[in-house]
Parts: sequence; C-alpha cells; structure tokens
Amino acid sequence: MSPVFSSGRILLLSAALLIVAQLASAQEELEFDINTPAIMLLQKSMANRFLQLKPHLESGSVGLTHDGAISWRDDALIDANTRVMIDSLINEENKDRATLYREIARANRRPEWEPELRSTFGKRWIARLPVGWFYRNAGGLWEKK
Amino acid sequence: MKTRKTLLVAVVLATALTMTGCVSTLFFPAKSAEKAADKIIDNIWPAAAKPEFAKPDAKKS
Repeated sequence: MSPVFSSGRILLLSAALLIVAQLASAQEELEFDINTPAIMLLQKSMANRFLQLKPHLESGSVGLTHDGAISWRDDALIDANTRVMIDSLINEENKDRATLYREIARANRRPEWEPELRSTFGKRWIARLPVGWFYRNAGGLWEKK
Repeated sequence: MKTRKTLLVAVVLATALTMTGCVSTLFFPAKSAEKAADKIIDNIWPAAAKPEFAKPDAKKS
C-alpha cells in the first residue's frame, strides 16, 4: 500500500469525518424536555394571565420585547387603577417567563443555555405575534406587527 | 511495530469518540429550541391558531 493511504492516515481521516458529521447533526439531536411539572405549571399560569393581558396587548398599551419579556408601550389612556393592575400583570408575567427559561435550561441539564433559550423565545414570541400587536426590537424601537 | 499500530488505532478511536460525545453538548441546538418554544407558545396562546394570528412557522416579523 502506498504511504499516502496508510492505515494511520485513513484512520485519522475517518475520525475527522466522524467529528464533522457529529458537528453537523449536533443541533438536530437534542429534543428539549418541556414536560416537567414546573414547566407545565408555569405554562398554565401564563395561559391564565394571557386572557387578562390580551386586551392590553391588542390595544398596544403593552408589547413584547425582543428578549422574551413584555413591557409597557403606552400608558397614556390608562387610568390609575388599571395601571396598577397592568403593572402587576407585567411583573408577574416577566417573572414567570424568566423562571420558564431557567427551568427549561435546568430540566435539560444545561443551565448555561438560559440566555440562548431566552433569546430563542424572544424571537419566536415575536414571530407568532398577531398582526397589529407591538414589539420592541433589539434597537429599543417599538414596531407594529 | 504491530503493537504500536494497535495502540495508535486505539488512541485515535478513543479520542474521536470522546470528542464526538462532547461536541453534541457543546453547541446550543437552536432548531430544537425553536420547536420547544413554539410548543410552549401554542400552550400559552391557544388562540394563536386563529387566522388573525401569524402563522406558526412565520419567522419574519
């Protein structure tokens, strides 16, 4: 056998190909576990709160942010009592969202993925946003879907 | 000479296997994360199936 095709070189080439193939498929392999009791509970809590938040998201008083949270957009036409109620909803929602991202990372034994999960959720919330609702982009500007 | 070759084979294979094991957990699986996010959003925003909402696979805002 020619030295160019020595068993050592073939072996090294095979190992390199194995690593490249693994790199290419790494993203597709892991399926996130999102069925833990904590994650299910958070979803339920957020689904219930969504019913209360929906009118304010529709009116544009509240909008989504690029980093997977929600925020006030315009409170000009909101009376003081309603403002307190919406404030509380926003705070609770953002608390649940932060816990959700942390829980998914923790449940999948990759706590260091929390920022990436938050960012992914931010993008997906905005992608799924109904027409006419508002979101704040990464530059801090509000945009209408 | 034969023993040396066998040792080389073992070392290369062990290294490759260890590296492939590590690689699968090094990179954030973005596609899987999007899939998980969509499932959760579906559960939280059940009305997202309605026509006035953006389509689930719409990635552009």
